[in-house]
Amino acid sequence: MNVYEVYTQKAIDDKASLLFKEERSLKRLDGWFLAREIVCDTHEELKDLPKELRAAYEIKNIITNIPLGISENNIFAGTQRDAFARSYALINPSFRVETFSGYCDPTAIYDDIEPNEEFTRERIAKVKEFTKNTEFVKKLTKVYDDYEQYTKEVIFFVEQVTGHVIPDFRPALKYGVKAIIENTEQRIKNEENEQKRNNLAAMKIALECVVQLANRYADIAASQYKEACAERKKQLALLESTLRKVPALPSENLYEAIQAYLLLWQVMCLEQAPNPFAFSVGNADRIFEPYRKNLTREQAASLFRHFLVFYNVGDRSWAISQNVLLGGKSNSGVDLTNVCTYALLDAYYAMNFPQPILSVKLHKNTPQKLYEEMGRFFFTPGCLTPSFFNDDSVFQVLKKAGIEEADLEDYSVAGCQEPLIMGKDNGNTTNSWLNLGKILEMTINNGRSLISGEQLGRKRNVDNLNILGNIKEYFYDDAKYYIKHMADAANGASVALSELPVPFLSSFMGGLETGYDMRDVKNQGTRYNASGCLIHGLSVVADSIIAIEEYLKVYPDNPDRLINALRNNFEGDSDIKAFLKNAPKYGNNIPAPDALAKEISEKISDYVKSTRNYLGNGFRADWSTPTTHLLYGYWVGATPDGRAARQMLNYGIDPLHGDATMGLGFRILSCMNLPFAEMDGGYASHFGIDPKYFTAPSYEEKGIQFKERVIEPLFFNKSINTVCPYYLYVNVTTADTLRKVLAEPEKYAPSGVYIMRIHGTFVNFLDLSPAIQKDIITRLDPKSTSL
Amino acid sequence: MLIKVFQKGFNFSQDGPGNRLVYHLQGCNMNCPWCSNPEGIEKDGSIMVTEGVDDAVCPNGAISSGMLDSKLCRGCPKMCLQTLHMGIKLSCDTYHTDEIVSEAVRSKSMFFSGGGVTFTGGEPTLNLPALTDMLKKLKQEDINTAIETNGSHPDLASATEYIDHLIIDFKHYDDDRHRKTVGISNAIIKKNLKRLSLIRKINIRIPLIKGFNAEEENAVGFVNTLSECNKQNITVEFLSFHEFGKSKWQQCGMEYKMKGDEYISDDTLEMFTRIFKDNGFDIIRT
Repeated sequence: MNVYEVYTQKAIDDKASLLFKEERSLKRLDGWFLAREIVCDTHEELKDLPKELRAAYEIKNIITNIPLGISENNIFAGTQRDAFARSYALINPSFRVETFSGYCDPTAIYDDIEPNEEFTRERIAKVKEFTKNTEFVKKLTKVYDDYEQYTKEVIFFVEQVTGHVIPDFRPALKYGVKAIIENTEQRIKNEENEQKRNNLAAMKIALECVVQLANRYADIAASQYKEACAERKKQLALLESTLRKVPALPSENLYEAIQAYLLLWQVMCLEQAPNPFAFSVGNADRIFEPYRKNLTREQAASLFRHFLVFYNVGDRSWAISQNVLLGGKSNSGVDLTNVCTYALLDAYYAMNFPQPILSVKLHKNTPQKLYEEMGRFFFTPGCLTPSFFNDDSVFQVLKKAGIEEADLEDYSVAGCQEPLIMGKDNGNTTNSWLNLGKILEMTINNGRSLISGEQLGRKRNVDNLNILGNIKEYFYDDAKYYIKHMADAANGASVALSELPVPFLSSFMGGLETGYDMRDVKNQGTRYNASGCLIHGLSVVADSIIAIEEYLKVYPDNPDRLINALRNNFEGDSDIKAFLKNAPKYGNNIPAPDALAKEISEKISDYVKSTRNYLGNGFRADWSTPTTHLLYGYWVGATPDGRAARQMLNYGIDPLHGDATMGLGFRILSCMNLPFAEMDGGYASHFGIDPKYFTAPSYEEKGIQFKERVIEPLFFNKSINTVCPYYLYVNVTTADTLRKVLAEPEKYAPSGVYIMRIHGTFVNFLDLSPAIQKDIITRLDPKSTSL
Repeated sequence: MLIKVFQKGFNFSQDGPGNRLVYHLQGCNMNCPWCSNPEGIEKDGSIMVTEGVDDAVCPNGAISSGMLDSKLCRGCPKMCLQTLHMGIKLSCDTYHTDEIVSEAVRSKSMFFSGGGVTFTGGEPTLNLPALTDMLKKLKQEDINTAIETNGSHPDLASATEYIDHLIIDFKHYDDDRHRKTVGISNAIIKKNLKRLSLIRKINIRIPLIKGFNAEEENAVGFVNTLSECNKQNITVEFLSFHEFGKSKWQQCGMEYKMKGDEYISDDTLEMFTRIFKDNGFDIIRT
């Protein structure tokens, strides 16, 4: 039966809107707790099993027991609601920059549950206590205790990485999970290595879970059928028959493929509950196009509306940073946009949801049509906007980083902007976080914090003039020192996480080939493996070192004045603050600071990449700061670039807000100097662009203007011989507009949703905490992008 | 050769086609009371403050709430200008012309959609040898060039072979009004317009200012004067009065004489457009 024999297109569209409304009305998300409670309650019977098998039975128990439902507005079964808590900081109105702690307590989430009659304090306390005593938590706690000296004011920070990969579900859609299970059974029979045999057995059990889940939903559909009206009966019959078929058997049309995909996603998230942020879909257009067959773009778009609703969890869309990619090119350079590319764009535009985030891959032969169709996103106020990846550069960056040529077209984006290969790459992207601003503070002040006065870092027995006179060399030396400690701590967190194997996910990350879990810290389970390091404070440090050099030209014999001014946060010495603030800054096409920013990014990238992770693979240099430029800036005292204590650091590779005043042209020229080929873990950059610069009469023509004035000079610049930039996100609006939206949301955002981009993710601007709203307004920084 | 620049940056299609790197050269021989870049008038530059300057930086109290009243700078030895990065600086920086050319060459990647380099002012032809030197070298680098000039240099024609897009501002056709309002005669301008239009394309820009040149009789006056040019080679563009530069007049210690009622209506703009079109002129809007 064809889905369009059962539903009209309008009925599908209406149901998608109603389903989203239902989801936004959910004020509690308790499924993750139930999942953890099931694990807690069954622990005794499983505790003696190898950990991979134990994990497989845990997900099996969760799938068997987690309460399920199908709404009258569901055309597909499935939800990822039970994997997420209402806790993600940026969209939590109670979030305050001041409350960030350099300590990641995996049991703190239990304190966020509001107890009620069903979820009593005792019940919550029991599961929390159980969690506290797991090997994972004990090991992770020891890492934080051991490195607290460095993490408490964020010289660096580390975390265990959940989510943040791109599973390859294509074989499950094409061949069906049943066929994969049968192959795995064969593998188990032939496998001599006991550990591998156990691992494969665990993967097989985990794979069976998704078939079990489909059947549970099919049973619900069958049960609802009895009481349903005639119209709904037809819909439920289609749903039941589909669920009896997929994902066990191959998908044969788009409806089946989407259904299969959603259930695979549901099990993957439940396996890592709570809060496996930033799992990403990859190129959804390429995944689904083979199944579209005779459906039109419009018909496909309507089904995709439901696909998109699935990624919105609860009242604030708590499952953040799940990334959908569109477009791009093949390994041979052929453009890969297709009808599903445009159908997905239509669905995104029609729904304008806060999640999932949308990224578009571009290359020099991207069709004009794609730019034309993106115009409506940029120039409709409050509409989501895609972020952009430059395939021509990303291919070069990944190839240099050791990715095989055949895998390049399958690069996807985990979370916000980290490029990883779908189904083959465990990049542990957010494993470590390096704060260059704090390291510079340590260097200048002999390891003593300007914030707390505590001795946190190492001392040098040299005088202040010596320190300032050799600031660059000492800074590099310190960076190496702290990176070493950071890597040790980050590897400790990964070892702790290996106590929680993920057999289901591993099945779609190459585990069925290698026989190892993707979190195994002794045997590599994925084709590619690395650990991420997000590097903060590039322009603040470059501009600070330049400012110190300028200062010594004028005051060669008075280093103490500068150091005291920093200690006192410039109080009582506003002359020096003005002097420092007016020194040349990165982002204005001035040779000295631009060259230094290049040098720093090359050297630090090199130090990071030379550091080994738990498997002996390198860390990846990721110059992105997903709002942590705010959090980490709060722990950095005054810096010699004239930045006051506790103010934000610069965002990603961008100049500090207010420091680039020469417009977009000079800013791009400065940016072009950076060594993008070395940034193999990704980087972040944002342009806040005033819509007034785009004067064409239609969205389509404005889309072309956007290509000509922003994308082409940045991404496809013919006169640049090195690797061009490869990532950008934009907000096409002005600070005044956002202030108006805040002042009169009923007038400017009558739907209650005004989408902005913050780092790689979308957010409903009205859902954000005040500090983040202010950050977005500040970083629009119109002078840096005037055209 | 040395050249003084008081502002530089990119803009798109405002001063010539495509994305352009625009240099504002210091010094002007006119004194237009509506000028939006008054800091570019004095040939040696004006004292300016940078955004966020601390009032206490000037011990004589010339800075208040971040605004400079440079009348108070008269007679001061201006030591502040000798100290780097204090938030007080001259409006202009001095460059060797080769530095400008080198920067333009580095910026080639940004000259998309037919863009290039534009010199404006102040009045860019005040230092014609330096300007010509830069234009010539830019052409050698195959960079598209444009200048925006008030057209008053008697030897303007000597540079035009290196100029791809010539923009001439024309404030008033009546010599007496011109002289009284902006300080110099328009005789050479008119001569340049007529002569140059015979040999090349010119974009003529007319700023429309109510009370000065924006009545219907003025439209007719402009048309009569410009009819002496070769119409095939000229385009005309009207610029509406604005006050973007108002706050800078005080910072330069100069009196701002506009009253704020010089804005023109859409009807005026339409009227000018109609009269010019009726007389065979090509009207453009950039």
